[in-house]
Amino acid sequence: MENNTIMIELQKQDLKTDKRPYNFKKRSCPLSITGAPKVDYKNIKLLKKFMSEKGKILPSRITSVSTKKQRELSKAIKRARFLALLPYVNK
Amino acid sequence: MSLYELVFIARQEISPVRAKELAKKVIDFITTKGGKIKKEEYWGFKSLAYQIKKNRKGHYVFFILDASGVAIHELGSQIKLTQDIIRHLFIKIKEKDFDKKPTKMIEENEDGK
Repeated sequence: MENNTIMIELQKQDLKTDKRPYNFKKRSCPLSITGAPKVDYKNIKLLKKFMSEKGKILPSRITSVSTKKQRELSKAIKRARFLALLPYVNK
Repeated sequence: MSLYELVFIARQEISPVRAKELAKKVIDFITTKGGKIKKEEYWGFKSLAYQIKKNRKGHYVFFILDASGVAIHELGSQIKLTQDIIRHLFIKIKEKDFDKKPTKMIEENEDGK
């Protein structure tokens, strides 16, 4: 019972301070963590993770890659495509 | 002088020995122009993701060169005239990005792929 009352009070506090009552965890960019692999056109395995089955580049809102890294990614993928390491279209 | 990466793809009909001869030509050209070869790799006879000039496979050769822009430009026009090379790509890289370790492509080859 005591626990319950405490919880309710905490929730009220949150309401007062305009905080959201739930914790939404923001997903961080998988390429910005320390020790993350370098984005490079030679690292085909890594680039394939950020492409659809048809060979398109996945949007960052799905992969949660940061804007800076997404720019690097798209450049690397385009280079790899030019060298026929990756397909332009996968039929 | 700055660092450049060069990848070129050679025709499928030629032998790996001939591909290495082409690589040697590039090295000779750069050294005569006063440049240096920082790294040289033969990625192997790989299948292409799509056809280039009716080639389904190609010999991939990779370099890191330290040369002047003029020399790189001349090398580019030389490569264009070489019919055994079906595609090439120059990329300028920064000094701090230079890595002495072999690239990912070599590691994959050693895994037996």
